[in-house]
Amino acid sequence: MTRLAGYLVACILSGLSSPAWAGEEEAAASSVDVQALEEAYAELLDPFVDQKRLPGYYFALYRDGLPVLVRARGFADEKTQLPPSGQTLYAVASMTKPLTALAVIKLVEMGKLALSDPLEQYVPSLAKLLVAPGGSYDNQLVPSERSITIADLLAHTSGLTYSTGITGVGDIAEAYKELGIFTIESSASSKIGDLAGHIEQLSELPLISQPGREFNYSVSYGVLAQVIEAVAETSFDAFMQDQIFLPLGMVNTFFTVPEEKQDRLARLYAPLRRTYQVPGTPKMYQEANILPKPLKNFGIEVDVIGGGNGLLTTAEDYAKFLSFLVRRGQGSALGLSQASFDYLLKDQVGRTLGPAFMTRNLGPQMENWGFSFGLGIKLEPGAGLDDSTGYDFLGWGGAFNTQFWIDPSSGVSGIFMTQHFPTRYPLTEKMDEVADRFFQ
Amino acid sequence: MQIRTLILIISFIGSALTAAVVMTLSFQREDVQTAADADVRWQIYSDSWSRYLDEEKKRLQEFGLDGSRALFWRPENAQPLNFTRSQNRSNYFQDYSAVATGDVANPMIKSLIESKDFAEAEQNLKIFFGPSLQRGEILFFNIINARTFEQIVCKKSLFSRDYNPCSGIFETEYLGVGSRLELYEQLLLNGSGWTGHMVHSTPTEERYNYVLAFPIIVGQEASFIVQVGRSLAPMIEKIAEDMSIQAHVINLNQSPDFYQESDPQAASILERISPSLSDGPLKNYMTFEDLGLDAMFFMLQGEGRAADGSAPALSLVRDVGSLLDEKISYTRTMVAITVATVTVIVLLIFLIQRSLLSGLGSAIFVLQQLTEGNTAVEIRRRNGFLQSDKDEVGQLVSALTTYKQSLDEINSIRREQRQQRNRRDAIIIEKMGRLAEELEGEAKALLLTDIERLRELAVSQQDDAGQGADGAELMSLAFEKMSDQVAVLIEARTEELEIARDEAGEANLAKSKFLANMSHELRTPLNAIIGYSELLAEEAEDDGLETMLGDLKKINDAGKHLLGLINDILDLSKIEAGRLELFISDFEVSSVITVLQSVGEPLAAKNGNALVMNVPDNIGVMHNDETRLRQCLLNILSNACKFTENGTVSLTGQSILLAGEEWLSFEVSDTGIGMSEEQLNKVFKEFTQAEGSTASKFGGTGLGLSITKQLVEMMGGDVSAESTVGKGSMFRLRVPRNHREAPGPEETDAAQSSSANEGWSNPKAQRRLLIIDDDVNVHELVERNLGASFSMKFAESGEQGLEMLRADRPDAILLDILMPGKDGWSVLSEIKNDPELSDIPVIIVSMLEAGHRAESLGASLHLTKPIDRTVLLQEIQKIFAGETQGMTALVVDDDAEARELVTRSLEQNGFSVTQAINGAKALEQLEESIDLIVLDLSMPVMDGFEFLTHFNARKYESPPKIIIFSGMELDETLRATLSGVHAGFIDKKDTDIESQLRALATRL
Repeated sequence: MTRLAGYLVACILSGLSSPAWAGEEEAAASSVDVQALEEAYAELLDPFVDQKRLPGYYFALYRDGLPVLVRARGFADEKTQLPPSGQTLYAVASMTKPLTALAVIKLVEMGKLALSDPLEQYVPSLAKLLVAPGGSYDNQLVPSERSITIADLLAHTSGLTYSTGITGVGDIAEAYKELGIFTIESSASSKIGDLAGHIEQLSELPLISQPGREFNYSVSYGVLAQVIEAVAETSFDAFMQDQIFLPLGMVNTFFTVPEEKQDRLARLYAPLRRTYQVPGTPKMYQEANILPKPLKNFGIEVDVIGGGNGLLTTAEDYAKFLSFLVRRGQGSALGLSQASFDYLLKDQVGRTLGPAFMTRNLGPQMENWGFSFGLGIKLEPGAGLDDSTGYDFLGWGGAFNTQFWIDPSSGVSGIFMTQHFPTRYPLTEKMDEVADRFFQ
Repeated sequence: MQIRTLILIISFIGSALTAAVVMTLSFQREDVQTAADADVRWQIYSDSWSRYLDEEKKRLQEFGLDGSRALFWRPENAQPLNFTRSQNRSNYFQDYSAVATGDVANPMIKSLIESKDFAEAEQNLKIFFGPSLQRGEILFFNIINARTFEQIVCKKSLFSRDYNPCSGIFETEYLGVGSRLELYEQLLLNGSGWTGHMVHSTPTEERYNYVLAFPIIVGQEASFIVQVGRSLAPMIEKIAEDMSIQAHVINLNQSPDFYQESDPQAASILERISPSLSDGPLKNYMTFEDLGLDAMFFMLQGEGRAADGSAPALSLVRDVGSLLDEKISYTRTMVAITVATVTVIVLLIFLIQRSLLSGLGSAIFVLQQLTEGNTAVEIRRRNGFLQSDKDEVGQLVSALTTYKQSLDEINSIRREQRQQRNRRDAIIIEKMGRLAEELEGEAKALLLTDIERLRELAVSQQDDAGQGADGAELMSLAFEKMSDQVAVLIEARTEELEIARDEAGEANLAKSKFLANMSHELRTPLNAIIGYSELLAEEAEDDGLETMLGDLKKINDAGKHLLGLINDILDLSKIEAGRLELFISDFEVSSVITVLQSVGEPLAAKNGNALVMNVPDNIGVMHNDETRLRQCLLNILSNACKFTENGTVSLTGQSILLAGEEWLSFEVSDTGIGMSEEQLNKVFKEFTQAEGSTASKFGGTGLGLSITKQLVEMMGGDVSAESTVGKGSMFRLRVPRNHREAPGPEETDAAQSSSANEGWSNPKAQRRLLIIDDDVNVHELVERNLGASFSMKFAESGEQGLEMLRADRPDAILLDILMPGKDGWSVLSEIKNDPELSDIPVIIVSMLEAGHRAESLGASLHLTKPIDRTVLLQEIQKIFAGETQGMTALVVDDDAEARELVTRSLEQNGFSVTQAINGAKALEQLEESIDLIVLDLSMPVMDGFEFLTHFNARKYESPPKIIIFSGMELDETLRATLSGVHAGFIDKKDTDIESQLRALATRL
């Protein structure tokens, strides 16, 4: 079924796609053994559903922006028996960041701001921040050595951090958590008001490192939203819709899901902790409780819209963004210079700040990863961040286990959608590995 | 009131009081304990709170002039944030040279003084306070210009969202000091820090902070005032958390409404403590039972109110709702348990009481019922729990049971008596009815009416015993009436009966007279015939007239046969008339045998038989009728001789023991013709002989064996026969050695009726008379005649008489001779042989044949006519021991032939004989010396008895021997009289018995 579905989806997609791609469709489809490809991915992904670790998933593989394989299992919402599909809306969390980065780059290209601009130029309250070294109040506060720049924000080297509920550690991260600054929950219910409220809180807190010194996965993309608002003189949401999503053809991508499309929302799940043994293969997930009670997912009630998270999109929409990246803007309505693509697809933090801080921030699975703007760079073994030929692939995921990767060298991109918090199953490397077997 | 109820009430009151006391004590104890607990807890809370404040104070002072970073505030310190260095207290590396110039080296202070936006100062202060501020360790800090009292810098914690202490909207008050200005003035005056409570208030809210305030001296002048504050709220939360209580700060000056929204609990507490505030200071603790709260109060600033009148108190409130509930439920439980316990105790006591005293109740009930006469109640046995028959109640019940049992017994006896009485009454009524039927005329009707009433009464009395008296009265009345009637009737009947009896007596007397006379008249001529024929035969023999001798012999035989026949007939008739009387005496059996031998030998010889007498000489004495025994044996013997020819007739006698008694057995066996079985069956029947032809062949009346049998039976013996035809017969005769009258039915009756005659009649009379007679009529007669003069007692048999005699020792005895059982003679001899009784005079009262009066006349012998000469002569020889030669004899007889016969017999034996024709003549002739008198009894002028009376009156030295020679049929009485010793004689038929008895008695 899945194979048939794969072709079917491919046909539908091709129908929707621009006529310019029509000729390559055949080549892309015929060049691989799709059946073997699907079996390979089924072997990788199905166990999560078979073992009832996830209620369902949606997987799609593209080459050169064209669908090769679609595989869906289980349910996006068990309660409503919603099947996972390319049209299902998933909260993609941190997968918002690459799009925010794209927006900033777009603005840079538009000449409205420069990457080296100090932050206080656009957000004055964040000027002259103190620094609590190591993010601990035990260390005496010191004044920051320099201002935070836009580039710092894009590369997570601003000195800001995330709350302890996400990736932060230490007193400051704890303060973020207690105050609710850009926490996962805050996008649905914020105690400190909208984006401006969050920024205000941030202004009272010290940084955890001097700007530009460390890679710290952080609220920087949230601050970027404020920057964009300041630059674009419009709301971040509106800017994204008008200037990014629309040109990319991402018609089903929202910070706030219109009511008529809420039934396409997948439900957010969380692990089910049992204190007793259950025979057979019991469900290992349950409905998540991080949301205000009646909500099945984010995007229905939205308190704060930042650039670091909060986006709800479909696999098909997000694939359009991936295709845009893979095809380096070829055939896209969103005009972007190749130089700008380089910003997005090349390492921006440097070898010294990269892998070590990646693993420190995001765990051992990020071994040998670098970071560009909003998305990570997996290096070939022994390769360096400076040389983009040594890149294995680029990719990133969301807190709810949505993941994507793009392999510009082979033109392959893929997306894996499910809704499960917290992050448990990093699959990008494995998915890329499978693709590599078929598309080298 | 019942004792049970009383005890129950007392026990109830007792246990209730005990329970109340225990409960009161326990409540009081609990109150004391609660108070003590509360004190302890208050102390603990108070200490804790003080400790918190102290800690907080230290923490705050860390920011102040005495803290480890105090150099931060020194104007001369050019590097205020270089804490590493500033911690060096010796200040070697500090450049304080600015002091000399009066410059301010500290960039922070400098900024405060000079800067417009205080950015430098703020930066420094943020670094100084930041971590603490963002960690929530302090709420805020601010810097106030000491000159203008304006707030220059103020920062609050990010975490305080709804309260901004930096805001100017609050009224500020420092507890214990007063307003802001007052504090500032105090600080500026003292130049040192102050720690205490700061209250920020608006009309709607109050905020409490613990604040450190100190001045910053620049130059010689206090230029700024620094305040570092901590919210009291988290401290209160902390103590609440640590102590697991709720905590509030309540301003006692506020109205409860003030807290209504923010802190409803505080509002309600304030509401409740407000009234007591006017009375005095706030109590340390209070319990609000309606809220279920237990509150402790601590004044935030010392005791009582602050200088400005505000009085915020820390109230630590413990939710003791569950405790109170518990207490209430405990109290309830306790009350319930107490009530239950009291109930159980009372119930237990009640049950035990009931159990123990249940017997008492029922006993009382039973006693009441018994008192009321209801005996149908039952006494229940106590067998319940704890019940014992040994306890007091048990003993009471036992006693009552015993009492009731005896009552029941008495009742049943009474009932039985009543029933008996009823039965008796019924019988009496019935008998009376029957008797009344016998009556006639008016009396009958009257009596019948009475009896009918009695019967009705008796019926109604079956159930009702109370009417007994009336019934008895009525019955006695009826009885009286009837007894009168019956008495009249009886008298009339008695009279008739007496007449009848007299007539019968006369007839009887006539019959006896006739019998006696006839026997006399028949025997007298026979006597003559036999006697003279014998005399003639002797003479003819002497004269050799052989032919005559044969004829004479025949005459003699015929006479003797006739005499035997007459004797037999007389005997038989007497036996049949029941008039044959045995004369029982002690005699030598051998004498009887002797006579039999002498008489039997001639009989045996007649048919050429040999007579063998086989009787031991020492066979001993027998107590029976000698004559009758002899007669019976002779009868059998003569029969044997008669039916045997040329054979042997043997008489065997021996003593045998039968059933423990000694008997004499005589067997007469012969070798004669014998008898067939048929004959043997009839042999003892009257007028039958073995064969019809027997009489013609052997002669005889056929009465002999029949008489023998009857006589032997009278003697208490029996006779039987065995025989074989042609071989011979054997007759066995057995007689008890000691004759004993078989007690007849009459005697039994007599003995019974005599017992009713206990006691003496007329006990007042001096002399006591015992009458021994089997005829109760005689008793009556005697009593009627002599009852007035004598006290009398009656016996109806000889045995009874002797018993009475021995027991009562009467003055005299009236004795009848003819009585069944022991006869008068036996009684008499026993009396005489008993030395104790022999002195009592005995009067013989006997129904004797007329004219046969005999007194004990000392007769030596009495013979019956017609005389058997042989016997006569033998007797005479016996009397005189053979020496009869020259003896004189007097023959007294009115019959000349008899006189002649006797005379001739005596003369032949050497007597010189004189004759007298009657007693009177004989008396005349008694002057002469006479050795022997042969006396007839039946004589004219003076009969033999009279003669003997006179004769005995004459006391002879050697009285002549007297032989009674009479044709009179003497009964045993007369014979005994003649040989016995008597005091007198009375003929019962004499009309003048009374006078005779009187005479006799007087003589005695």
